[in-house]
Amino acid sequence: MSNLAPQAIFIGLGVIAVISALLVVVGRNLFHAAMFLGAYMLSIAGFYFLLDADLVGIMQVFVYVGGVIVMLLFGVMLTAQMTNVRMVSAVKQRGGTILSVIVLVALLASIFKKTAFVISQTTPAQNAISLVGKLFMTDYVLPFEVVSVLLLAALIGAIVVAREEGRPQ
Amino acid sequence: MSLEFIPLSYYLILSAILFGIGLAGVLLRKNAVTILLSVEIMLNAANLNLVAFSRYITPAAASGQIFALFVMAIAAAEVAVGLALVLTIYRNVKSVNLDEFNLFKW
Repeated sequence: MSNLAPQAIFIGLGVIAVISALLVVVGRNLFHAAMFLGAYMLSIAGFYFLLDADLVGIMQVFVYVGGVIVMLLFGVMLTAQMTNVRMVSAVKQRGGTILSVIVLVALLASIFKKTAFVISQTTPAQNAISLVGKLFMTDYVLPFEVVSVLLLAALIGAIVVAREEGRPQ
Repeated sequence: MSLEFIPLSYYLILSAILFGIGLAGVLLRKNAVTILLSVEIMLNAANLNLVAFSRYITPAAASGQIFALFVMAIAAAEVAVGLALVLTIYRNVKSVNLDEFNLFKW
């Protein structure tokens, strides 16, 4: 592999991520916005693979592209009127909001540029998936169980909230 | 492999830009579903930060990857409940414009 390949991959994925995120934000069609969000999440998964985080990348594709996007599309398309909603966006403080977001990003970027991070030269763990699995079952077992209970509660809560009221069970 | 070719600050600046785009979406848009999508953009940008720090600062520990996976689980729960709420409100108000969701406001 030539030396330029990682940089080329980084720039390509970055361009895809920024453009698709912008299209999600400025788009007027909910269906297209959900599709561009899928492209954005796939490019983020590409970054994870570039960063040697295989498990996170695979879970990104499974959970986000396979789960969240499909759920959003179902939610948008099953409510027939919502697909064709004309989205008017006329926030009064538009200029000031954009300006302050740009200032925030510039401030963060200048901080990142100036900070000297201590880069570790150790090689990453060879079998990261089994390492992460072991950590989930040892050091992080309590947060792991709490998250599983939270997911169950969110599942039941979403069903209860979205169910139509007044219908006999 | 890619450590010496791409500095850590590139990842951080990129995720700051993506976070800014998501933040602008949350602040500027009035459609509730678009705001949910923008929140997802912000969560993914933060996740990219976590994984980049994990790779560059503590490559052997993988703790950043575990945090990213936790954030992913929370985000899935958030979007499920958020979408259910938006659908319920839409059924009652017949609108996804956040300016009309002022029942609790006054």
